[in-house]
Amino acid sequence: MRALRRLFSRLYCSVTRQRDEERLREELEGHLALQVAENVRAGMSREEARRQAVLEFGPIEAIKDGCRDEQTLPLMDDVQQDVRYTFRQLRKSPLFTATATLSLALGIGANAAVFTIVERTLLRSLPVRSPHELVYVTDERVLTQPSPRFSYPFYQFVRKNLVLDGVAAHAAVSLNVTVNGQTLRAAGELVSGNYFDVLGAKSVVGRPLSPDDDRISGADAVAIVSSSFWKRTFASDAAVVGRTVLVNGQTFAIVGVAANGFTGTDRGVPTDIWIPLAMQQAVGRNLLTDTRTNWLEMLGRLRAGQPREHAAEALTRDLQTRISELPSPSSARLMVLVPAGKGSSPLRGERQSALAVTVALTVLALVLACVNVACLVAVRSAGREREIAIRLAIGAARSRLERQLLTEALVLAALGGAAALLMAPWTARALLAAYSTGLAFDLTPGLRDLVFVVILSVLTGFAVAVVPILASRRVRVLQGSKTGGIRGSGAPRFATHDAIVALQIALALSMLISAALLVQSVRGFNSVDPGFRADNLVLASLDPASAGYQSNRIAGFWQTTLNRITTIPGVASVSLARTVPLAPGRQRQPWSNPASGETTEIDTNFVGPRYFQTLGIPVLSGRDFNEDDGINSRSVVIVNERLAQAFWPQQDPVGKGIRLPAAGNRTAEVVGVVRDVKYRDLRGEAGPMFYRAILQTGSSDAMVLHIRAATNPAAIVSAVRLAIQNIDGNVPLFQLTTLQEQLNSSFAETRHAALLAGTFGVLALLLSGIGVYGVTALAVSRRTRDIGIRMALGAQRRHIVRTIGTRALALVVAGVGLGLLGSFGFARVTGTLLFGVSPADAATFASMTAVLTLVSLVALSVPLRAATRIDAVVAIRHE
Amino acid sequence: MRRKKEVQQGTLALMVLKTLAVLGPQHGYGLAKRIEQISEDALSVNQGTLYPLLLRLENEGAIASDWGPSANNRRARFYRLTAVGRRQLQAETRSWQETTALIARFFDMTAEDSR
Repeated sequence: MRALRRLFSRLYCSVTRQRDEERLREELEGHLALQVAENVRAGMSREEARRQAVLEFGPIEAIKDGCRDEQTLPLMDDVQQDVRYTFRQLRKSPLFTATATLSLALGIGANAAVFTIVERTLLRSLPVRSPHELVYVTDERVLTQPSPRFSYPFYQFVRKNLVLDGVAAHAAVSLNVTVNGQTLRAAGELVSGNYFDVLGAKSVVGRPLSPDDDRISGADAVAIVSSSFWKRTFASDAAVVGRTVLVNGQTFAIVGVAANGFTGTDRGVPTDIWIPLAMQQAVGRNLLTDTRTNWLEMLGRLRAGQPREHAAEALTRDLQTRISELPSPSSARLMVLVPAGKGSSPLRGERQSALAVTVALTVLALVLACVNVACLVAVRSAGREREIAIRLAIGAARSRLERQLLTEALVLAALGGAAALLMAPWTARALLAAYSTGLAFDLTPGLRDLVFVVILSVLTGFAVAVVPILASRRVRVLQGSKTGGIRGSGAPRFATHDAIVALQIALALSMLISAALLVQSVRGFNSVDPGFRADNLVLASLDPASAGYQSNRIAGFWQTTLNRITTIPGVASVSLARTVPLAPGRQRQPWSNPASGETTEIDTNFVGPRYFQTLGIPVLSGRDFNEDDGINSRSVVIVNERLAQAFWPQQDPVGKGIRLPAAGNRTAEVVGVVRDVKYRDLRGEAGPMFYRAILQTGSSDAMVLHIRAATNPAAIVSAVRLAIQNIDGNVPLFQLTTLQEQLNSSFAETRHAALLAGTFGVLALLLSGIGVYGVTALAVSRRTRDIGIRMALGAQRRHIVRTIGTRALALVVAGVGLGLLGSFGFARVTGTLLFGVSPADAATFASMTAVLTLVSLVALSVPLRAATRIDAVVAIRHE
Repeated sequence: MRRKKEVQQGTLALMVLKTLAVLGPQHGYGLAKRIEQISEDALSVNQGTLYPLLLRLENEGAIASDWGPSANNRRARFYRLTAVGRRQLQAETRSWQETTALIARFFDMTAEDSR
């Protein structure tokens, strides 16, 4: 209590800087005067009286200091002073400050960006009630495939369970939403009526969907929109409730706006609009009575305190006892509950390993940045040995000096951290763009991001401070103040900054080698032949079914569209397909092998006429699809080489019959064999593949137009848009891109890593050059006198060069050796991103070592040349 | 080194508080003289060390100070005990007495006691 009162009082004085110097002076003077008077009365002379008084009083300045300390917080004063001193020092060397800040800003910024993504995908909970109680309700299929789906009747069956506190179902669907006569593509979700109840998601305006909206099929055309969609499309108009919009051409009334930040459970794919499952027919073929199509994901809420495993067992038992309620005979399933509190994200699972590589790389980048700065600080502070020695000699406490050095490092880290914070939204966006197209996260910096950057900056500051503090401990008062003294030519002692420079060289080399390997991998990806021609190919997605086209009219729509686009000047060829090579999402169908009789799932694409011509895929035998492959003609398929070998070894498949998958006994005729195409991944071998003629399947799925431009793809985009507008304005064009972009995004992680490693590699190269220069120049300046004496005694220049150069060269050799070892470790980290180049590629190792050595030698030679020009007379008189 | 000084300072603070309690408001010189007198010069403390201590006690709220006239027609700072200081003095006196009593028992200890 007393201590607290004292602290406040001191804090008050310290902040107001009210120090009452005057009072102190007067009081002490008064005291002395009284003592002097008494001494005089005792018979002393006036002078003696004063002398005795002062002696008895004690060291007056120290006492005054004690009084001042009593009135202030000495630590706070010291810190203020240190910070001010640091800023003065930093202003004096702007180049050092800029380099150090940039280095730390890059290191901290890269980590902040990665943290932002990781936080959004892996750490942040959904903005719902008690997210830890939320589970995905799935079955044992979850062990082998991501997020298995269920049919609507099965959902109705599960929903009646007595174990969980509610089970909701949802399915994502792309919708055409027409607001004020404008049609846009929106990310929709069909949800059960209890979806908002089970999640505990609220609305900001109006009401959320309720079970009453989901009772009668087709009866309640109501919708909830997300708050960001509301802002974008309705300008946050509170009167939105009761307004109607067209969803796939059908009128829906908006009843509410979801709470700010709630965008469904799929992280990175924010939902714009929710409509009840009962309205499913408005967006596609009726699936509500279909027991065979699995399309729904189920979400459940555990009862409070219910362990997940127990609930899963209880649910399995519950369903088994009621299995007879299922409409079609169905075997019992083992139900599995998966935590859903953080939603699901495409950056998890498969992509998570790529994320891990990025995390490792960015952490290394920060370590490198710290070493960079430590190196700069060490070289700089080596020149300050004298200053430190003098300060120690005149009585500065070592702890005080060390605090000063720590302050300096912390200030640098704070500057770097601040710069990183400013860049954070952009760096995170760039990182996300490098990962995958089309993912959207809320990247506005949150409190967690801020806390992360602050903690990281402080840690960085401490890491950077270690080196100069250790270096300052070596300073001895006597040695330092004598200009480093006269040193013999024997082996100079090992210094901290030498080790740092060697470490710096090692890290720079490792980073350069990984960067070079990654750059070669990017080149490898670029040069790999995917089997098709990606240049000048525009992709545009169209979904006529969502604009109300029934399957009988869809083939006509596609035919018209293809005909119209062919006539556009600048269009060389056009076709369409369900899936795009190397893009996410592919389709597999069960085909039975006539050779072995086995049925296996094989990649199958549905493509339009002249598909192979448009993509530049050579037809090796037989023919391409054409307009005659329509709904009324014989079913035809085209296969690739690999499939031909697997199904008809040593035979020409053209003319052979093959049973169509999931179509009873219907067969199709193989009309062509085409070259293999890398559909999934540029790395591996192409897999076996079937192509089916889209116009004969009557499929109503969204399709991607593949348009080959004669010269410039950008030139035809607006004409294509206009043509489709003219055919039917209700069919929106979406995901306009090019095949080249699609191709590039398939190895975005490697490119991104190459950029990161390259930036830091070059920075590290420059900084290690500065480091080598610094230590050599320091060695020269310390031994100026020594060199002068030697030269006066007749030493030759090459001797001088040899003495100083050998040591610096030893540093470089040690650094390079360490760096080569480190590179193998680095290659292990980046290994999964490499392509077309060995992780231990000798040429890369050799060339990067050569570059680094060259830079080091140049950096070495400058101070060495200066050493040989030393004038003996001037040098001996040096200080 | 430091620890020893702190013990001294604590003792000195107790002396200051007791002197003020007995003699009423005093200025710094007066306090120093009284303490010297009572301790019969056995205490070799610089008079000046009193001042940081006085400031500390004032910051803690145990004493308060005002300007007043001194013997030689100068202004002097007069310190007086506050209610807080009085309580502090009582508490510290008690604990001091308890400590000395305890230590005294140990000093009186003879070999027979431990049998």
